[in-house]
Amino acid sequence: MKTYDKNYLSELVTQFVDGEISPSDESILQEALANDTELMEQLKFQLNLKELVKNDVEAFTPPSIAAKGIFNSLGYSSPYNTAIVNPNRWKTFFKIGVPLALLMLSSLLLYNLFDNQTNIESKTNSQNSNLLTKEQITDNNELQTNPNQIPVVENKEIKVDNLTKLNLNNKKADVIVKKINESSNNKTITEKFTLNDSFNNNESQIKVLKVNLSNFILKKYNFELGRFNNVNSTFSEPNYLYGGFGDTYLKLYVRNSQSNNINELFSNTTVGFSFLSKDNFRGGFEVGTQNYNVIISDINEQLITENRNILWYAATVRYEIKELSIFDIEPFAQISLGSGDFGKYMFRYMIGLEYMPFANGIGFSAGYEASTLWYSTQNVNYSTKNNGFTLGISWKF
Amino acid sequence: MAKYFDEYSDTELYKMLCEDKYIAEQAFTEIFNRYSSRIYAYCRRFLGDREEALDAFQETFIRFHQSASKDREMTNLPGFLLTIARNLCMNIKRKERNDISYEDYMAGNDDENKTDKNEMLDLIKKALNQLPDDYREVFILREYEGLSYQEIANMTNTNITNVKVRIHRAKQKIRDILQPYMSEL
Repeated sequence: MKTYDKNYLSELVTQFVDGEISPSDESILQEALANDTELMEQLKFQLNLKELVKNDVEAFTPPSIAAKGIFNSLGYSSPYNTAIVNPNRWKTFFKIGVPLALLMLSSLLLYNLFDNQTNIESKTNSQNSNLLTKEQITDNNELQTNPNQIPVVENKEIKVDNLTKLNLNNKKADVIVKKINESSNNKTITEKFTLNDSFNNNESQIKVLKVNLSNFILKKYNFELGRFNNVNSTFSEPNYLYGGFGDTYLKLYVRNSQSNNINELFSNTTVGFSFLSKDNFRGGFEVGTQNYNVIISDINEQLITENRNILWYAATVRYEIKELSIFDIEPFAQISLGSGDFGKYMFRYMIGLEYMPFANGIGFSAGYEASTLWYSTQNVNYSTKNNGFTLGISWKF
Repeated sequence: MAKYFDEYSDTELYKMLCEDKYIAEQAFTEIFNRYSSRIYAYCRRFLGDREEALDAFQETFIRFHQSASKDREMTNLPGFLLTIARNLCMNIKRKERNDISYEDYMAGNDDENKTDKNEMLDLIKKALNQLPDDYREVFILREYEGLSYQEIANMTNTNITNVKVRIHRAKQKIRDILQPYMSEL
């Protein structure tokens, strides 16, 4: 084997790392590297040096004050804003909260306007209406007039002599029907039916003597993009029948991520609401706070790393895997897109399990949540990540 | 169809600097976005002192803008910017050699200490400051600017063999300075 001068080989290492080595020299170097640990150390050092230089953030970040100086000197408007040192959270909150509140309020007003109009129309057209009154009903089969519509009865008795078909196609709900069994001295019997697929298919026949179907709607509290409906809550007998059509319920929730520091127990907390949009999907909105390690500029425009608590907000889509639900425990996955009082964009995802023991009411969740925040300091883009185990509590209406 | 400014080549953007104010401003902003990091890195690491680097950096872009001319065919805009920056930095260095005081020197070092959080990076920067100017320059042009040996040779008016030797010696010297901390690297 030919031997080469140490200095020459050392120079080849530099050229190799810089990508400037010739093919013939490269084979010489490779041969030498295999037998020379000192040369190998040099190679490692130079590769590490290159990596360290790449991370010299301060050198590659012109201070915004300098950029402003240049643009001002040239009579141009500076496109660079000084990095936020003390973000105004209330300002951010109002920036998001006020439009959201206005959207909800206007939706509510529009919806109620539309809904009232519908009610007036249905009352004036009793032939086609699904509003049933005591005087109108002689046969409960009128419930079949339009099976796809929600029957609305204002707390009236419905008398029938024969079996009544109650067919609510495509509806899934628990229905409690209070029956008066005429054959046993008008003794009142309360029965619960589940309007499931088999019910629909078989058109189960129920002898209904006294039904408050309007209460059926009373319990149905829909929330759709800020539109909610709470129909007629003044019933004397509200327990005759209740239920809802599918899981269109509003769900409010709060969850908290782990924190080792007792003083920061609620530094990673999220609150949000969601509503079912279609089948397994839920859409909603979340607001939370979370700690991130971020690079910011201090008052001297120097770059520093800081663990900052950031107020964030995001639109969320959740996929609930109802098909895998066991003992009311349901897996889910969700993604969120949003921003914060520091940063441009935020992406979050979460996978977990949710335990909902009741159709309406309290629920518990646990899962793994990860997020990435993209932000800019002194006109250079950075990203920072956070992840952890999270526990939550929710209330479904 | 109209193009976004970030779709134009350096040559086209340079020509736009002579157009009306709106176009010139947009073109300049795009050029600044493309090369400000590299130019600042050169000034910052070559000069070491932050204030001096800021002055050189600002002056570079102002002079660059003033140089805009429709007749000039700009084939290597980053190279042109670097040349301006280099000349300015050399002037500052020359001036510094003539009138540097002990207080200035200490103030410069304090600034370094305050700025750098990453210990190893801090050591490398200190090692860089201990290099002779010609070694430091080729190291910065290679590692911070990503120039090839040939480009460095053209910029520094020397031959490629010289560049190879200087870069190698610069790295060796940095390694020698960092020798006590080698376990961390």
